[in-house]
Amino acid sequence: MNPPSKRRTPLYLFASAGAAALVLAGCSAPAGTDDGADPSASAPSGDLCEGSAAVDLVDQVKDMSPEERESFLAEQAAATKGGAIDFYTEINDPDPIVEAFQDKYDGTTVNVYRAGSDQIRQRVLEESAAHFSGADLIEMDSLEMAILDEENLLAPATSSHADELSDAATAFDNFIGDRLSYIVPVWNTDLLPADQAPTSLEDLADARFKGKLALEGSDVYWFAGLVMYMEREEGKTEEEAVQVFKDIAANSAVTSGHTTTTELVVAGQYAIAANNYIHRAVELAGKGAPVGYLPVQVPVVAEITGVATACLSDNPAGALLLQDFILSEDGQQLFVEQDRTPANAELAAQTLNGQDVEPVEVDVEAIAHDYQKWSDLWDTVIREGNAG
Amino acid sequence: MTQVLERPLAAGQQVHARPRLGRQALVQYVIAAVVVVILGYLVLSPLVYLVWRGLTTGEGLSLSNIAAAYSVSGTPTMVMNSFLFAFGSAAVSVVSGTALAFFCVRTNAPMKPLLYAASLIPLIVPGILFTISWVFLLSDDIGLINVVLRNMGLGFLHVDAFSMPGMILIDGMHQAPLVFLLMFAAFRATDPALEESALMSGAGIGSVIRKVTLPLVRPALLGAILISVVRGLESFETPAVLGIPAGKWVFTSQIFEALRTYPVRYDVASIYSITLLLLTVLGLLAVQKANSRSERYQTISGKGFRPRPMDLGAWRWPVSIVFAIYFVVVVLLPLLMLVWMSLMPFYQSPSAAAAGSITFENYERIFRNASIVGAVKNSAILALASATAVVLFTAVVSWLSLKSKIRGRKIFDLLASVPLAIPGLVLGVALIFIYLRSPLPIYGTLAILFIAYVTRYLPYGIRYTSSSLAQVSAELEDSARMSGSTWWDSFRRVVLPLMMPGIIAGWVYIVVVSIRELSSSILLYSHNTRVMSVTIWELWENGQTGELAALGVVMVAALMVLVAVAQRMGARIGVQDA
Repeated sequence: MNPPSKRRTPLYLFASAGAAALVLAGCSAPAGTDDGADPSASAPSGDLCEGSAAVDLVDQVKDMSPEERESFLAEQAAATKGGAIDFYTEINDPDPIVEAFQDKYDGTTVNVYRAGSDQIRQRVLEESAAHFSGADLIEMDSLEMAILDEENLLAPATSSHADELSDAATAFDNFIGDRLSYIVPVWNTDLLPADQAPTSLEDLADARFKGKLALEGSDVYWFAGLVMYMEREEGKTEEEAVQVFKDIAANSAVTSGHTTTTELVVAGQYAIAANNYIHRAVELAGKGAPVGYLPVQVPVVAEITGVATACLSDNPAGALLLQDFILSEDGQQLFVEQDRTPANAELAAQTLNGQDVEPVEVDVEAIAHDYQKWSDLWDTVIREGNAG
Repeated sequence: MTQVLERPLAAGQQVHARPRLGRQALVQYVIAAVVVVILGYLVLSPLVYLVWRGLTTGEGLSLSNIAAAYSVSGTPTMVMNSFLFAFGSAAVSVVSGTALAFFCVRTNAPMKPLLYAASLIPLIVPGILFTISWVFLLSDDIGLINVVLRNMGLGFLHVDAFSMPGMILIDGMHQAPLVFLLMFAAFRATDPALEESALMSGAGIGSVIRKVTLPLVRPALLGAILISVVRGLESFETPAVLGIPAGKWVFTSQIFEALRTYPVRYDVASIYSITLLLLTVLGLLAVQKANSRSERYQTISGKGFRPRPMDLGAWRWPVSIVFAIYFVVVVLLPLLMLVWMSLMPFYQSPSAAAAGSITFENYERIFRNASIVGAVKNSAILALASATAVVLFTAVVSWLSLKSKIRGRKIFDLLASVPLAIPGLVLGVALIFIYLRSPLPIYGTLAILFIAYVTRYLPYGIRYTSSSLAQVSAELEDSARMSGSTWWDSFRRVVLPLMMPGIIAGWVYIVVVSIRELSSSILLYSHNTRVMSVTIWELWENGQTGELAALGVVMVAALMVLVAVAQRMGARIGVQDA
């Protein structure tokens, strides 16, 4: 079957074609980037905010009265990019907000890209590295937002509604919290009477939960927030605080994903989940499912979701206008209607059936800065502790 | 009976080699060059990107970093779990998929069209939904099957979903359609005369299957094993949902973590990917070697045959009962569970009391959801386009790899298999990187998703087309050439039609899995190119599991229509049934 030698295909065919392929792939030599930035870095080099239209605009409108600011931004937003505003968000259902916004401001269209926070972060970093204007307004988890902020991709945050928001939402320079997700133990009320509810974080390691407890395995923020809280408020060392979690893990099955965990608690596979979202419990209880989270006796961590204007935005007026709308009472009310907790302090109180849930203070930026450390530490907790 | 010839081509080869040698060879080189450029571009660009990012992130690909990546605590257990899971799940899917395909094609088992359709249902159900519905059936505490078994005093038969056997079973059942389709095509192209003569010579059915049937479909069988094992090694979903609560960590969770964390550990991700790539290449070389005496499997030759079904005789009903049980357990129960979930406002174990809360609200909501309509359209365009492109392109690649006379032709198969080792997320990031800097206006359009899907599913396309082509003898093509047809004519009018069973099967598979593709899609879609998988992900993330179940049910129904159409088409082309 061997071909005659004169018909041998020169191997250079492959070599040259392979090389051609690589050259084609290499056509990706940064087009239009002038700074010779190392394109291998996932983060953009140079300060994209320096002299950006977004930063200029923020500066221009910061001293305007709310009415003046709104009409100026509305006019600019509709006149830029054909009124299109690119909105990257992790809001569950962005439609109500987008529709209300478009109805209110003629000539604007909001283009939504919805994904998880880590995917939004990844995409914004890649786009910024190529100096591509993708997002105008970004809405996602503050932990991921802090990463974008560390890379200098966000314009300074200003809003005429800042006074109405809770303190935790306005603790940042370049983004503002727009809603909160409280993380608490959530249980199946058929399987766990309220008098057996966990009375403290340490109590979750109690023998009565053995084999009944689920621990969601991706909540680095919750873990880091509570470890820092125990160090600060209870005088524990970091090691002691981490040990609390190891004891809990030893009592529980580690699950993957909040939805999966909730489903399994509702179905009765687990009686209780150590870390789940209040809004999920409220929503399900509204449909009649046997889930509860009251009384809240374990320190509560609130995940803050923030909004920010991208420095690379090519419709910064649209971004600011949409941000202001989301933070306004009208916008915040739409979160309430979706069983979510808005950053607006007054409205937030209404959402939890009048319950006063006071979350512990969490230094988001510190966690973002040491993310790798916290993530590795959490990994050892769930791997070593996992009872199986 | 004369199909298994030692050297059936020798004569034909000499004849066709003489008159048109120069031009034939030139045509082959030109095609090869074009194919290598396209393949190289699709496959090597993300790979080069990953390795390059790996070299420039963290500690790069130094030996010490490689050692560090493999010395994470618990590595040996994780590696063992990964292999156990991959081989176990591959065994389940290969055995059940092959058996189903055999009985569907080669025997006179009753209700074959139903069997065909049913075999594909697990393919279309979104993975997470499939897994969860199995938890509701097989969990130790709340699983319906286990509860029933306990009540019947058969508790010893139970399998816990949250355990290694549970993971293997559930994942294996979900993957069975991949093997089923591959083997279905292979069995259709096998000449039953060989089995008949063995039977007539007094061999039992068991030994006929072992000594005649399976050896004849060896290229497809080995291909199925290879692709199932590699896929098992890199799969994350089932191990995460079922394995982690049971303390069974697998290696892919490391890759997953490396890509999720910040700064992204491309160094770690590329080390793992390269390992997976080496394993894939080794596996593929082994498969190529095992298949090297290609003439042994060539059952489609100058001598005509019709694939007549084998009479099971007395075995007809016992076999049918086994498959009926399989059908009920593997297809019907999870499907009913899905329907049940879709009718509930929130999950409740099936009971008379729970039946009171049955509602059609979930269906109403998905039909009212405007974004689903757009996503269905985009997914349909993408799935049809990428499946067609992949099967046609890999048909040419397979021909080059198996039938051309080019030296080093095996490399085509290897190249096309590379994407198996590249995580979808990495492919997404690589494509963003390339097309944000390319003069082609592809970023943010359906075209970038198309490129992603074509790249991801090349390895599947090549397995389907090459195992199908391996059964086609060169005689027919040679006669076409001798009669003066050009390469293109003989490829289009002789080779492609004979490969049709494999092409149709691969096409159906790729259409369905592209609808499910999420890890690249979620990074690459934009507001006007939303796809179904993103909608599915959203419903799940939002906790709208009832609506997702309703969507799953609708997708199963749509798949049935698609399969009916594809089967009708497939029945007209290719090797005809008796």
